[in-house]
Amino acid sequence: MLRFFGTSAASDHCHLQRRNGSVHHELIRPNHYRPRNVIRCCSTARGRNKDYYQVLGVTVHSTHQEIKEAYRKLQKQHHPDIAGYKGHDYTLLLNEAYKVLTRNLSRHDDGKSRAGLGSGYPRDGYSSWNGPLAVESCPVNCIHWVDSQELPVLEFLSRPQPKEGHGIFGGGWEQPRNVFAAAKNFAKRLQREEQELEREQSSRSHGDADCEAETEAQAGARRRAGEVKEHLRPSIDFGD
Amino acid sequence: MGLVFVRCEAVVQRRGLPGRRAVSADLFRRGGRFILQPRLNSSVLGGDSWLSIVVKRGKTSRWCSDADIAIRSTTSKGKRMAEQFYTVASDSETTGEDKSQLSFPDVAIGIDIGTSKCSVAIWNGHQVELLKNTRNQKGMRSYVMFKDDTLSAGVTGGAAQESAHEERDILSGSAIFNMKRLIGRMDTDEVVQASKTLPFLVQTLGIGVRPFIAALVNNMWRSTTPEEVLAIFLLELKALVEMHLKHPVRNAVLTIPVAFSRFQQTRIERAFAMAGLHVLRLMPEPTAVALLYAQQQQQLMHDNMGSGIEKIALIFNMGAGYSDAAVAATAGGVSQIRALSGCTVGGEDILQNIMRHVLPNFDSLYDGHTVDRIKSMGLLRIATQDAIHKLANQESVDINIDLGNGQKVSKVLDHSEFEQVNRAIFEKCEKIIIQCLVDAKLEPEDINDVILVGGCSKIPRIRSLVLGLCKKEVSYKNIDALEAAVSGAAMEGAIASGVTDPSGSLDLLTIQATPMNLGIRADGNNFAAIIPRNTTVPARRDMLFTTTHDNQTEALIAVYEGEGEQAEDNHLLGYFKIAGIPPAPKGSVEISVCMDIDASNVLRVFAGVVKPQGPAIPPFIEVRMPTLDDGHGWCGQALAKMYGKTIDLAVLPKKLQP
Repeated sequence: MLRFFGTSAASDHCHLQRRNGSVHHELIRPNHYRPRNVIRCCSTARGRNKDYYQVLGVTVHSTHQEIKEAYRKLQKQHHPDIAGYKGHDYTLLLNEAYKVLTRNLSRHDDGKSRAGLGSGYPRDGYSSWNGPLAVESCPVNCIHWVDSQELPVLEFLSRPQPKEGHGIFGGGWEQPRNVFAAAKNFAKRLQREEQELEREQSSRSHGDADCEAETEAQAGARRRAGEVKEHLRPSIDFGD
Repeated sequence: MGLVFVRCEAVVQRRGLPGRRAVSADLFRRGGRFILQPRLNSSVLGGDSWLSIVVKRGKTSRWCSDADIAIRSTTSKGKRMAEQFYTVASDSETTGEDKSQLSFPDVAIGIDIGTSKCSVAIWNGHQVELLKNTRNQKGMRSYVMFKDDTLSAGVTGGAAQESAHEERDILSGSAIFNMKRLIGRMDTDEVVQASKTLPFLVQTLGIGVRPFIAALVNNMWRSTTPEEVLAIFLLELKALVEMHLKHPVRNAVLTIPVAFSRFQQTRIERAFAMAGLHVLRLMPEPTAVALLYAQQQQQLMHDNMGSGIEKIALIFNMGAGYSDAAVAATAGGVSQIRALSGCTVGGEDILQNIMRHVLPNFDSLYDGHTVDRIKSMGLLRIATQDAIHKLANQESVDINIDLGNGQKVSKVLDHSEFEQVNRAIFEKCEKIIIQCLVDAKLEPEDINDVILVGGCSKIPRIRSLVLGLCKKEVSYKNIDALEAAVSGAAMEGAIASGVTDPSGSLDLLTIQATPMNLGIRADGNNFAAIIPRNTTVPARRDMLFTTTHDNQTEALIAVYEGEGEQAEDNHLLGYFKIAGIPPAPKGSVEISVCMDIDASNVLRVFAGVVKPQGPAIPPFIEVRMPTLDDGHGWCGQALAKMYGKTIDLAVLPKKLQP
């Protein structure tokens, strides 16, 4: 059994920490007594990040142009010139994400974008939290026990998803209110879609190019997820 | 101080978008003012403007319309601010005095200190306005005149009542000018060496200390410093702005050349501090032009969302002292600086080249600063300057001048001769443009517009050179070559002060890039760049280093800035030592050096041991750079002499890094 925490509660009260051997994390972990600036110095490499797609609010299928637009839009909200000094850390993260994503894209900028259910759903969990446990001190009821198979779905759904907009109204990002209900629903739909896909494939004798492209596009997401997959025992550290 | 705290509902509008929404906010009372702070869950952003506020208390509700709300975000207060607040003037309780303060929020002014001319601009609430001095000039000569006990700067035209005599008085030796070329430079610098032919006294000893600068007052050389001269000039400039605005000015956005080192930046900031001005932002000149271009493109396309058509501009700025090039990608009011490059050649060098050309024994003639020589040197300068200006519009020009003491110059100068004499300068310009294009990873075909600014952009050869490199027929026309940089600075001043404009003409952003590599000395005398040039600002990078000796307990972090492969070729910004490294074989200790540049261009260096870990490890060190004050030419050598290679660092190869 694994623990899953509702992200809305988690981001408010808990501070998630990840341990994957990166030097930045080692820097912070045993040294809670260190002056704040040192921690700040390494904060870009902390916790939730590295999922640059999420930082920019784009998917693995987004084109160069879409990434650029998302980056500029976010810069206009968070750049220290506009948002004040509190925008500093976030802008750093944006810059890093933009740099990495555009560098990756220049290698395979096919400009194609696959829409549909679960585009960007990595099918692997991101969770690899491994740190001190402090369940008692959690101020809200945000811990739920889930199966390890459910974890990736929940994580995927608790990330904000682009909402369909009409003109300038209604666009933006949404998160399901009840992530567990949404997960159940999603799993059903996913299963149905996969079955259909299988049927389609078996009806054709060869796997066609479309299929190939899909796997290739997913590979990036899988690779990223794979890096952190070793530890699948999540736990939480409630900041300080 | 007790705060009255009321929850209220505020109507907010996103800049440049129709549609309004209500958000909940807290209304504080602090002193005579109300402060409106959006609640955590209501997504109010920097670009939002408040339209009205409804305060509900019990059964009564009070409504304030936008006319009553003078809102300003306190971003201008700088980085100490933790969260964004909005100050609201209440409709009944604000006194008249408060109102006048609120209607003049502390908006930073834009200042462009040129080597030869200076201008100042303000955001007047609707647009950028360039201020004029009493002589109706927008571009004021940058100089300070020393006369008896009085000092007067070029803002008011202190040298002479009639402007016809101004230039001659400036060149009499009593005025100090070209401060921008001299500030923060050591006497070994070739720019300082070249300045020795100026009418005032520039004395060098060639040992890496600041040069001795003096003005002729009552037949005596009176010493001064470039910072002091600049501060006197700025005081007059500040008085001019305050006279116009009728309220005190505290903050300024200043344009600087790309080639300015961080050491020079601190010097110029010090001059501003002496004049009572806080430098809110230092903007490389071409990026200020890029901001103006971004605004024009945005208004052209009515596009506020950061999307739309992307336009790429190459900006070339050549003034009297410096040349800069930049490539900026612009879309929806966001100007993203892709590459920057600059060098210290300008009109002053062209002028000196021509003076040497028309008078071959120029250097021997002006070896000493006697009054006679200064006078004839001034005459030659004025005549040469005129000739260069005329040459922009005509094929050839006659230089006929009697220098006194039987010296006469008579020469016909044409374009080909002019280009021949200044070939080295044009080559340098070419080099920085090519470097800029390469760094931006762009081909000339990708450039949409070529923007030429600065006094020297009027020289036909410069125009044809830049346009030729970018394969363009014509340059961008809607930008004034002399006013663009200061206009951009005033706009940035308004944006960074948190001013919003209902018509959306301030819905802009410049994403800056670092002009030079920043790194530390490692692997002997090599330079390890931690933040490479053209990294987007704010930037933060770290790199791992290791010890070079067994049981090495101390390590020297010497921070440099520049383009050289060797540390010594770059500017030393500062140094510090990490002590208490646990004894270990060489190469096994990991030392992390992290550099952080924030939006106001402040560089912080963090360093400390990250491996091995344990309670015995000393805490990290944070150092704000540059720490060096003077004589930085010496420090590197002194360090090498004192420590040799005993506390050196080596770059930890990537493959060893986790």
